[in-house]
Amino acid sequence: MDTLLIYGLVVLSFIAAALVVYHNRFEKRNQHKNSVIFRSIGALIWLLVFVLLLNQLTFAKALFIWIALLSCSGFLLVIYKGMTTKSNRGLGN
Amino acid sequence: MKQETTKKFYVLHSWIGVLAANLMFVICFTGAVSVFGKDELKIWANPIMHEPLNVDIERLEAVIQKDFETLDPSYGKEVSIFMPGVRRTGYVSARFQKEWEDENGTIQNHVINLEYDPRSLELVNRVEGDRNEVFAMDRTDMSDFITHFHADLHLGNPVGLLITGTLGLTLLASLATGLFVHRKILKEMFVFRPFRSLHLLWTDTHKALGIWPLLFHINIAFTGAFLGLAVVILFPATAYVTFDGDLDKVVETILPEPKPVLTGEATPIEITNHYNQVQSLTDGDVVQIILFAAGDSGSEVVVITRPDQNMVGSFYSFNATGDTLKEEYTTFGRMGGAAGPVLETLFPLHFGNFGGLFVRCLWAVLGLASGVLALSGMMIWIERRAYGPVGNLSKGQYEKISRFSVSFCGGMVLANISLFYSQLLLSVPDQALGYWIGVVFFATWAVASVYGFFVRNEYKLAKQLFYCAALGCAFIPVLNGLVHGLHVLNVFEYKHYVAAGVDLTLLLCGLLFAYLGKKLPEERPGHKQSTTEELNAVLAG
Amino acid sequence: MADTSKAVFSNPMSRTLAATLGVLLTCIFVISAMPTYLPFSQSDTIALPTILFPLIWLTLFLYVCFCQKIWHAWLVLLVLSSSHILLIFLQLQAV
Repeated sequence: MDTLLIYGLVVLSFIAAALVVYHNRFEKRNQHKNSVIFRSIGALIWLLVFVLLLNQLTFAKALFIWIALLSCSGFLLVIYKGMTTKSNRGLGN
Repeated sequence: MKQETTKKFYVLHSWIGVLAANLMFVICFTGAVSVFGKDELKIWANPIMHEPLNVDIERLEAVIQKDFETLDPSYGKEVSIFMPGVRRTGYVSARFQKEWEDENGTIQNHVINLEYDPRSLELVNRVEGDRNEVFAMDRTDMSDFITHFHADLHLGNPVGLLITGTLGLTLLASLATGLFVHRKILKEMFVFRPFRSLHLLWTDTHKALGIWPLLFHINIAFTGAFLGLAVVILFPATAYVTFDGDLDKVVETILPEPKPVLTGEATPIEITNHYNQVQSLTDGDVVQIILFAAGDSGSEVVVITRPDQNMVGSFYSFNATGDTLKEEYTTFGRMGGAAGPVLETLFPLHFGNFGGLFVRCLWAVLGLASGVLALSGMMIWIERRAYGPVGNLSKGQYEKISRFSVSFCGGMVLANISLFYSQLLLSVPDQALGYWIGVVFFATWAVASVYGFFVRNEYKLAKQLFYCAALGCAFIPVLNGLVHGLHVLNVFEYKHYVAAGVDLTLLLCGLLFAYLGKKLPEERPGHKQSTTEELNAVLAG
Repeated sequence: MADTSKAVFSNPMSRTLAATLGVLLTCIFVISAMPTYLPFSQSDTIALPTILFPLIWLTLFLYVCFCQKIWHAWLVLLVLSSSHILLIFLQLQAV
């Protein structure tokens, strides 16, 4: 696969993960509609990543790489969000 | 689901986890490192491979033909040519093998293995003996050591493979029971509160790392169990009835070898045309060329490549004379039926070697997640018992278990770092390098594991281990520069891009370990006891 | 407070033995005998049981752990093992 394509896929995955992971900021502000929009756009970007992979690779290879990319970007974003969200900081209790 | 059933799932999940967690971390961590074993670490460990290699195939063909002419023609039964890095060496190697039946009807073999410098193609080494003897004489560097440790803990067949295979089964059972315990999956996968309390740090880590990469964990558990148990139990068991326990016949059925028809007419060894034709058909690198009945005009040449578009590499079969491609197939592609494609996929799904460096990086990150998943589960178990309402032992005893877990797992990380130092600093004969790498590896692990018993405070212990790992990782690039004169700053001059990439990655790992060590508190923060109400809330779902 | 596991699983020693050694041995007998009755090509009858082994093991393991009465679990393991041993014996006799 092209190096530029790989960088692009990684960036897109993380953007999608950020949209999905940070959606509940809207829930907290009672903006349910915005939350749904955020999540939907995130899911669509993830689908786009799969289509881009399918364009280059066989179905099986594209599927496995897509699942791995989704998993990685998802949990890394969740960890990043947890480490940087102010309301999570410390009582140590 | 009834509360009683949920409680059973919870207790079973806890006990499986507790018994296997530390070893699971060891296997997963070494697995994450081993992902880079055959490529990046192999290149890093062998200075001869630092610069990109382009073996002159035409010259290689001439050299192998010249050396083959000095041998008895019976050594042409199977001639295997390995490109640099494919076997345990940075050299090009050619293995000439003959077989015969002795007076007892047993098939005997004798192998002559020649190694050539990949640039000058000068002969640098020659060993001979039967297959097992020649294999035992192979050089072992740090990349071979860590991949073998991951596969069988260096305990060999059957003990080591049984252990690693069984760990795959326990991971499968943990995942199945864990899915029933943590049923609010969609809610829990977005939550991570590392600074609110220790209890929440471990439980949120466990859930986030368990849910997002769940499919990966299932894949690793399934393929790991299969790969660990295949040779020891699975294939001998299925071969018992069908082939009277003859494993060789099983291999012949599943992986048939070409059987060329000999003409008796001598012909020189030819590989250049076949190599070039394969290069025009695929982007996958050629890793091996096998000649069956070399020197006979009826011989067959098989060129093996790395994966290109597909999950696995391909085999391209040619007649010795002529350029016509006879057949293109994959390892299990000729089996037919449903099992072939499944077997084909199991290996690359476990090793992550089907998509270049990008996929290897993904597999390494996910493999680390598997290890931390196990360790976080262990910490939850200790936390509930040392500072919570359950548990039969005293708080001091649970703290000892905690310290042992931290030092055992932290020691494994330090032992992996020691591999780089051993590779750079040990000055021993090539054949003894693997042994001494092992001595340093196990000694580092043992010292770190035992050290945990002398430190009362597990937070200080963890900080010390993180800082040791940070220093260890960060100094490797410096030492590499001092020993080989190659470092990140002269990468464009000497073109050792891969080795420089490994050095840079180690430096970043060092910075990450230092950051994590700094973030850890000096001692356990004031805690809130896990209550019976919390426990019941989990069990009630 | 006492460990919750004591009240949760009955006959822990017998259950542990069944879930570890019993299930493993049963699975080995099952996959050894599966080639005698699977209606597939030779290579499939050898390879498919090996691929299915982790799933067979997981199913039996969870069944043994969650079975209400441990003698049910032992009975199931015994029936599976003995029936498959019989199939192996008959196949070897035929050969």
